Amino acid sequence: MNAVETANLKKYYGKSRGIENVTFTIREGEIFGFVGPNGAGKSTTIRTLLSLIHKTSGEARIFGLDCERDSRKILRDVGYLPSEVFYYDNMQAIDLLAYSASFYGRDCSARIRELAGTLKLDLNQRIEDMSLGNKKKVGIVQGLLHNPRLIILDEPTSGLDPLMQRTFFDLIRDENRKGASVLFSSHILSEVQRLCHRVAIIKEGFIVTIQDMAELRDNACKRVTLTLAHGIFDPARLTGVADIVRNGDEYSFLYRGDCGALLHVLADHDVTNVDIAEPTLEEIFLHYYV
Amino acid sequence: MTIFRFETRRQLRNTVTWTAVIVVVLWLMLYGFYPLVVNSRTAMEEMLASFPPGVLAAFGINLDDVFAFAGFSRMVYLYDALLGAIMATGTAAAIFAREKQNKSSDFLLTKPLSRSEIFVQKLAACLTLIGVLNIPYVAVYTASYLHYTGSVTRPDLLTILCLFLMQLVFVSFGIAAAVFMRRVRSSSATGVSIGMFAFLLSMVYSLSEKDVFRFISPLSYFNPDAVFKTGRYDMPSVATAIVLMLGLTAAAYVRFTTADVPA
Repeated sequence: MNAVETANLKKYYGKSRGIENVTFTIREGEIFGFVGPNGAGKSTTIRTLLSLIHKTSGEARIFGLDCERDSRKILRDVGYLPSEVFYYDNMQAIDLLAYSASFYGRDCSARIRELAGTLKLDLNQRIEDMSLGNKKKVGIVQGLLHNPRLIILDEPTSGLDPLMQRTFFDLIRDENRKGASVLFSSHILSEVQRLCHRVAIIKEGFIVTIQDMAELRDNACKRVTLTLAHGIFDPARLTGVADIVRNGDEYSFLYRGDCGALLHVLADHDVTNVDIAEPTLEEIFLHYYV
Repeated sequence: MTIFRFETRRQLRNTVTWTAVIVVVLWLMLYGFYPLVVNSRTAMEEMLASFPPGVLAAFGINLDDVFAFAGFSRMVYLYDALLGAIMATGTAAAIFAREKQNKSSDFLLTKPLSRSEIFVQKLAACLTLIGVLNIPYVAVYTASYLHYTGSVTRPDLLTILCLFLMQLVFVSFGIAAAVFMRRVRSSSATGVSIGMFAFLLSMVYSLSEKDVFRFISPLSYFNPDAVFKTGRYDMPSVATAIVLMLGLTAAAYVRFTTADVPA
């Protein structure tokens, strides 16, 4: 059985487009990335799956159950971490987490303590006194305390420092090893590359591609910026070059292909500076889809 | 019953405070002020006679019966009704707008409960808290009837229950305000605004002397005056109250259970 299945899922807010014909599946036990720039439709898709908003048409199923009709059953097995976390005033973290646990009808106190220990979260602190990062930790604990079979993460790392991001990714990998499926939405490609098995790229409401991570890596392009001491560099000598911009002795282009071939060509020139970086999402879209 | 417990616990202190205020006002008026009024009847009559009749009517004072216990208690009711309306509206608004105010809708609506269950549990919390207030209110009121008149008749009982029934109407106002307003900055302010507006409408009704105005005065739907005159509630007003109460609650339910929750 698939953890998530959508077919031609469409959501319009009045006349404004939310998502259009979104179709994908997440296999059980898979970590599935959902990548796209802001406003692409990632959150709309997630909120439709969680029945926070109602689809205009199409189908959305989690563990074979209809997301709207069977939302009560589905939500027993789903843990959700939104991009921004908001909770009630005048509550300590432990009170909020106990309230959250009470919806699942089981004792989650040991699990809460375990997760809080891993994330170094002070359970006795009032939530409104917490930093953004600590509030996010409360969100992570409340999303995982009932051992969900599907974890939905909507841009979850904002507010977490790099060390805590690593701890968080380890935590998600552990949950995945224990059998949880994960839908991981982000606009940061490197995050998705670190964690996911497959990735869907969404743009302006449409899914433009779904790829295995290995395939995406093989097809990954780089933003190359180089400066020559003298002479002329002709990027057209390389295959897989796009979006070439020349500014005096400085050249910038997107390159998809064997890095060895790139370096081999560069070695024939008097290069004073070179920078090979991950492209932005927009650049990837330009490279592949325009 | 998770949400019911959570909401009643969160609102309990507020309810206890309101209960204390309303019951103390009732107690002070009936046990402290009423004996003074009766004992200084002549001076009071002279003083009140100097006021324009419209002003007395607006404040619920009727010279013909203000010195009888039933008449005096009806005047007191107007002020307890104002407080009770503010309390009921504010409590319902606080409970139903809690997630909107804290932006925590995502937290609650991704828990394994249907929106219908959430609505019903929140409604049950509102009614329980109104009930909590009314237990001491009814006790003090009943005791005062026994103290001054020696018995509690059926019309007396209907008078005593006016506050509770009127508060049910204002609970539906609070729920509707919380569910339909895009933003609810303060549930207390919502309660005060709606309560004061209802008080103004009741003044308009009292001053106008036009019977049809009773339909726009929610504080008067369960009116001790009507009980005093006829021995029962004014049935058209009760029907209006029921239609409003059920209509607003049903509309809020539909909205609550079907609306998209924006990010």
